[in-house]
Amino acid sequence: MNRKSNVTFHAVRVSAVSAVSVFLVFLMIYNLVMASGLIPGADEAVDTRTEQLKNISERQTSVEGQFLDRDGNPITEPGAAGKPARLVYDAAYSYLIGYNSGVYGTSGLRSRLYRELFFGGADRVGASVKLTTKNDLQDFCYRQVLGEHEGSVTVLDTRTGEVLACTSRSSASVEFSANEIDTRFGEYQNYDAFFLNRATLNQDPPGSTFKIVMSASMLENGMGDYTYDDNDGEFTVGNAHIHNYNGAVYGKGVSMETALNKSVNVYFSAAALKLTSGALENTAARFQIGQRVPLDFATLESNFDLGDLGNESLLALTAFGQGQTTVSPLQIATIMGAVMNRGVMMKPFVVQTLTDNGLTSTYSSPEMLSRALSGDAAATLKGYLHSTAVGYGFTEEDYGMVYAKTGTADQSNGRNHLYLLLGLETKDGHSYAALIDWRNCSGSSAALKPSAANLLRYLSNM
Amino acid sequence: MFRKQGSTGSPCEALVVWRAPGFWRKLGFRAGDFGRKLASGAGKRWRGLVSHVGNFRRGVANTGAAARELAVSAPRNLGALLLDVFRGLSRPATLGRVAIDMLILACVSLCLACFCAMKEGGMDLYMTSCLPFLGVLLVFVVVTESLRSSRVFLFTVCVLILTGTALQTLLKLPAPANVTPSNTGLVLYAVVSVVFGLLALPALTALVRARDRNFSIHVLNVVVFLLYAALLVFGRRVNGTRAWIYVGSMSFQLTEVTKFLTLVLFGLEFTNPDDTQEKRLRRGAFTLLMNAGFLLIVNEFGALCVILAGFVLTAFFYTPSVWRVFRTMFLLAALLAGMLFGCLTCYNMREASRERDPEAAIHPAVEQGARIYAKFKLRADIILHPESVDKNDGGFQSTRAKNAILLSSWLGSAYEVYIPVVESDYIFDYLLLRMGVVFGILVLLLMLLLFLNAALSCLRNPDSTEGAVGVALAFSISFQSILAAASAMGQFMTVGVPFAFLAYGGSSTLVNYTMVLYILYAMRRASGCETRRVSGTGGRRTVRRRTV
Repeated sequence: MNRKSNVTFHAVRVSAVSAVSVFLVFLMIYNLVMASGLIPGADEAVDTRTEQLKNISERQTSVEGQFLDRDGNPITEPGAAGKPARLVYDAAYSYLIGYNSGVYGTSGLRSRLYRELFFGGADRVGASVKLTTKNDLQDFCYRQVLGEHEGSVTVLDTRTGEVLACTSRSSASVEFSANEIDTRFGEYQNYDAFFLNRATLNQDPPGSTFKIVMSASMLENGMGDYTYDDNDGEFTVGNAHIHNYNGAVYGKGVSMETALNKSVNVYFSAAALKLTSGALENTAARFQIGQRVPLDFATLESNFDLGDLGNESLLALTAFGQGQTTVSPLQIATIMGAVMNRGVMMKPFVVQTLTDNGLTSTYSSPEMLSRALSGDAAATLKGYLHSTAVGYGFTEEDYGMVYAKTGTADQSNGRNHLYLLLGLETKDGHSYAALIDWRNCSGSSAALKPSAANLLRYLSNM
Repeated sequence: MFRKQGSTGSPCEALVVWRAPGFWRKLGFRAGDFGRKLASGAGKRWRGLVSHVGNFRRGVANTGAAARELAVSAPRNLGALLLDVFRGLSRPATLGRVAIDMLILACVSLCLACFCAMKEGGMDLYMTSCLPFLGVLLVFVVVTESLRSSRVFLFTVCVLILTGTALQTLLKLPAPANVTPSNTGLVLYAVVSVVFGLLALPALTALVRARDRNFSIHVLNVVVFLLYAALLVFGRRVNGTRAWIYVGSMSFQLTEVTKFLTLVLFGLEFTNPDDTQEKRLRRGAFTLLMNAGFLLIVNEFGALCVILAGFVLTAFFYTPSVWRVFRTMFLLAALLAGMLFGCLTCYNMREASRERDPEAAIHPAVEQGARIYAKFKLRADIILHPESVDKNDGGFQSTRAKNAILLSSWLGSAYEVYIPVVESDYIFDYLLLRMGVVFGILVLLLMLLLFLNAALSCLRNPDSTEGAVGVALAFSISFQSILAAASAMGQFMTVGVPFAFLAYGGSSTLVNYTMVLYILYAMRRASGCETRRVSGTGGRRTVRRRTV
């Protein structure tokens, strides 16, 4: 083959290979541009994945924002970039603050304030979050009031709705430690609903604490003077056979105050039939029962169901806190707060301010949820609850003006759910509402009285 | 012999025949004939034997002569090369072009330094290592300008080398506490590689331009074989591949060297003037199959891909008959498919044996076949079914690398992403992450330009063998890098080939720099007459070369 034909033959082959090479390289470049997600909207899956990765990467290079209590004391100690902060009061705050795990995600306030806490922005440090809680009170409530019981303790400022303490425990034998979530997650999963914040998410019958709502409804509907003749300690309506606790009989002319003091079930059941379901529903709605109220750290949810119109047995059961009504401990405390606050129900909140890059912004502020009952009704009800508290042994001399109501709800496993709802007006003008609830207990709510006394003492000296 | 017509052949008749008149005369004639035939046959055989011995002695003599010629021509070529370089440099225009080229490269360095500045201490570290690197690049520039080689190729390579330096600098930051980041290793590799390349170039040109082509081919085949043998005996398994040999604390990836020598072999074989097309293809196929066998044994798929592609390209360029090329490719494809099927069979046999008895001994050949198939299957699954691959088996690496692409932007981002084996296998993903998709596209286009420019220039070289070797080497640099990029982006199986000039690796740098020097030499342009030393004649012959 001569030289000229050699060159021609090579030129054709080189052209062919060049064309193929150019095509393949440009195809690669096209795939690269599409796979990199640089053209927004070109591929939805790529865009979603890119967003996820950016979030993960930013989170891994940012220092978690710090939680502080109302006095500026640290609730968490920040760690290195990408590492979770450590809770100072681990068990007391674990449910409220929640855990932060690279494997198991986040919970609690850490989940709600995810972007603020974990995306540091230019300074690579998350926002500082100031809460309404008080570290000492929170820890006291967990260790001294709740102790080794399953349940929760919630303390509110009735005038503002600030949550001063909100602590929970899901197992009498195992404490929840958010600091050790990675190593103990498997252990925690052995317990039923372990990660549930009992204060905000538990939905249980309110027991006798619902009598406050019933009493409020009666007062608002002109039944404040209603009396009932309790001859045998029993009341039957439809297929519901209602009796007092321990079968006690309170005789003729049981008044509202006596009914509250002694927790007379038959009184309220009989009163409910006179009150009618419509009036009770109306009052319940004003107390936000059966409503869904989003808060900055939880959602107030409850169930209020009186069944079909004319279902008197359910109405009678509901009147003293059984039936199909379920509320959370936080909501019960809020109800007490409404009574303490002249009938004005304040919206509970935990997060006061966020501080990021030196700028502080208010996250939540006092907000009225509803006018649950009139001022006069509230004052009357307060009087009754005060006499109830005195009957429990919470005297004014020892604790200040105390308002209280116990409650006991039957659980499906045959054990009891015990409540002790407290209100306190201190000498320096503070007004608190608190709920202590113990689950899976035997006996009555009288067992809560010593813990309640401790709490009242602490609050009055705070 | 003595039977008369009609005789029965009985002994009685024989006793009668030998007394017949003329018997002994005939016997004597027959014996004489037999003796003559015997002597004639023996004589032929003896002459044949003497001829073979003669051929062998001539072959040995030729081999010896060829070896002496090679040994003599290598330093002569070195001298000729130095002479050409000095002659080139003595022209003021050449010095001027060298200065301009270095200035351009210095500007490119400064631009790349801006990327390094995005990390604390990056600018200092990059500028510190930039100076010795510019010294290395000066060698390339001097060779290019004095030999009037392709500046496009030169700048392509230099930009890639500087980009690689910038990337390796960024990789070292932030340095751990109490550790001072340093690019000493990188600089050392570069300096050693360019010195080695300069020394290897004359030997390579001697091999390529030797008068006895077959001798060069045999020498290279023997060297490649010995290297593979050394790998089988002394090689150490790293990440499932036995491609490294350790000498003290230093490691050498011998498959890089064998790949380089094999590509030179293809260039020699496909332009052998003593062979027909058919024989060239057969020789090339033999070389390919020898390499494929060894590379499969050591589990090095990357080098196998590059060698296979180099064979296809060289055969396509230098075999006039397209039909012969395609026939050979078809046969090779069928052979490779058969080998893969054999490996699949071994894999199934191994799995069945393990199911029956987990402790049962498996034949080494079956085990090797199964291992090859398992590795191939895993790489395919990572691409086709990434969700089914255990993250510990390598799907993790691929996923992490793709995450880096998602977090990149047009001109790089500051996201911190862990990329495994980032200094070599996934360096392209790091380039995309830190320098951006624009730079990634630029690098791919540079690689394409590198090959196209080298192919066009080398194919115009009047010496077709030099051109063929140059094309094969340029193709291997380009193809290997694009393959590495495709693997890193998840568009092709992970084959473990390093991205030329970007990835960190001593053996890879050594081989790439030697390739670059040879390609620059092959693309040289002579103006007017050139005095060329012709090996073995002891004299000089003036060759009039057409300026290209």
